[in-house]
Amino acid sequence: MEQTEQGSLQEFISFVLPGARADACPAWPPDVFAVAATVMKRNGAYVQCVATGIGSNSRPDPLFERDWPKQAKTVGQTWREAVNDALKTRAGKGKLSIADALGKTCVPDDVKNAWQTVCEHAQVPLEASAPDRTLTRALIQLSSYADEASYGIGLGRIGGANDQFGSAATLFLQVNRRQSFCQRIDRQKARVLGKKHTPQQGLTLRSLTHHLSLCMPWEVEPQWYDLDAPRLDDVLNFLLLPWPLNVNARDFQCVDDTTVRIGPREHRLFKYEREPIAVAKLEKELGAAIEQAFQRVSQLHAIVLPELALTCEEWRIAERIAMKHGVMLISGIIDDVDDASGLPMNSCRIQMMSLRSTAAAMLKPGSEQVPPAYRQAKHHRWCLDRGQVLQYDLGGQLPTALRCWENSHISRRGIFFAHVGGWLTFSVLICEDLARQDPIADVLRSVGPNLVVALLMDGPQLAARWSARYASVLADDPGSSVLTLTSLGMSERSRDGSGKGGSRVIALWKDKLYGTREIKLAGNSKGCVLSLARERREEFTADGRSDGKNTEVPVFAGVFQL
Amino acid sequence: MSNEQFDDMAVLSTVAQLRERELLNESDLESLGSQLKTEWGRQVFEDLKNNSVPKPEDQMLLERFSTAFAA
Repeated sequence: MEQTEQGSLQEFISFVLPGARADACPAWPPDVFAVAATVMKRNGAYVQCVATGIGSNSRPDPLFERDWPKQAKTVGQTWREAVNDALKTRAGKGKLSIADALGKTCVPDDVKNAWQTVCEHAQVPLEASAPDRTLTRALIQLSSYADEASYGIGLGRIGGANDQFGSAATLFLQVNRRQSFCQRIDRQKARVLGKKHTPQQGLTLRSLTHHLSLCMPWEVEPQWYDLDAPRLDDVLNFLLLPWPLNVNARDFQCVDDTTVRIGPREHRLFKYEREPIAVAKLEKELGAAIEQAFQRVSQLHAIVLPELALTCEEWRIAERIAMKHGVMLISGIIDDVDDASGLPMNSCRIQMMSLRSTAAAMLKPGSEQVPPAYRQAKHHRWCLDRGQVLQYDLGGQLPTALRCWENSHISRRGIFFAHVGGWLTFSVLICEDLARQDPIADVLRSVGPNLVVALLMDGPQLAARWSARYASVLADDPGSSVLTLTSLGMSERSRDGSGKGGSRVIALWKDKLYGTREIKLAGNSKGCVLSLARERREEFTADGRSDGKNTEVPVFAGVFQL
Repeated sequence: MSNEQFDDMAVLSTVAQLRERELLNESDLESLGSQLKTEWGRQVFEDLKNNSVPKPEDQMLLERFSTAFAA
């Protein structure tokens, strides 16, 4: 592409991929996808993948022939093999770099032709480009070929040790600071990550792919991790510990007596603090809960605690116990601070290394050192208004006449996606982040993790309350299963409009296949084991391509009281 | 929000595993090395880079930390 007209397709593509040329189709499928998808994100042309008739006597005029899904798969597979061949023969020590070896790939003619077609439309104004069916067809072809070629990207060693494609993807992911699988596309211009769900309702750009997701480089920084852990079974068991079991009103306090004025509105800041749990008590209670869980199930995969459940010191103790048992640990942290500012920060931690087969051995004998856990900060502050102060019976501690904001620093928003054990890709959200899904919604929906865990400091997890509504949104699109968990202390404190409280519904499960389940603690139970089962389902892209029944959905399979 | 050591583990996993598959040339190795953020990460990287057969203490580090992620 030579001359650049302002507002033209050429100008846009040259921004995304500097130096793009009609006779030099990029060899790396995620790069091609990034170009095609960003164009379609701008001009909306992808909607034409579903044909519309003109009238009762006019048949729809589809963009693609009947055998398009098969053709796309064949081209994608050929492309994948070509990449593998180039890397296998040319990349390595004493040979070419992975990037240079990729340049020697024999890109399939179908891909090159579609690329050339797009480039031939270089002078078309981007805003007027959508009605051009030839261009749109080529863009969807490129997106779909790249999608088929990228099967299993970021999801472990799908193709085995000989799948050099996966190795190259990992290299590029690390070089892009775990934000994108692209090679030539700067992560500040477009990001491409893996994917677990294709929306089956509505029609968006996300409807067009099974394996690649376009994440625009806005304010949220996604992080993709692919943990090398043993394959998870078809059954998962999560130990849910709704700590603290009691919440005292005095644990909620205004930070100081200064009213913060922002414009005409008055606010106060509040904090939640409680007495630390004695080490011996913590070890005893956590150990007992794990032991009770193992009396009911032979394998335990994760221990989950709510928002603000543990202090940093308590986390360290719990983490070692989890490591010893080979169980993942997810918990909200009360007293974390932002590294850069030193300000208090509501966060969660996730220790995934414990899932590795060598987890126990990773604890150095005689040392307190454990592998680092992942930390994620809360994206939105909790705001306690009059209604909530009354709901939680906090009127003796917090002023009902003012809005009370959680004293938590908000830093650059990030969300992690962790793929573990061959089929589970999960993310964690903290309380408000489930309700106020902007600005992470776009990234979260693009990737569509098959499990979202929401850690809450909230009332009972009833199907009629807000958390169930927002869980339903994610279960509907992109199709994620959602677990919400609050503390027993907050659940019991919560009063409904008639003043009735004491609910023991501490968690809620939502999946797209079997719907909603309230999880209630029985009698004197202090926790429970939530069992999940993996089910396979078939999903289709909007252009009619099947994923071969490879969509894995965690579904509810039982609750055992401790 | 800092996850520096966690991130370095992911980078080192990639170095260790791609090197084992003989897929890394000098330029790729340097690209990965430049991503490391902690002194610990850079030390393990140097050990990985310089030793064809890791020393026993490096082997311990690798076993504990640097093969944690798929590559």
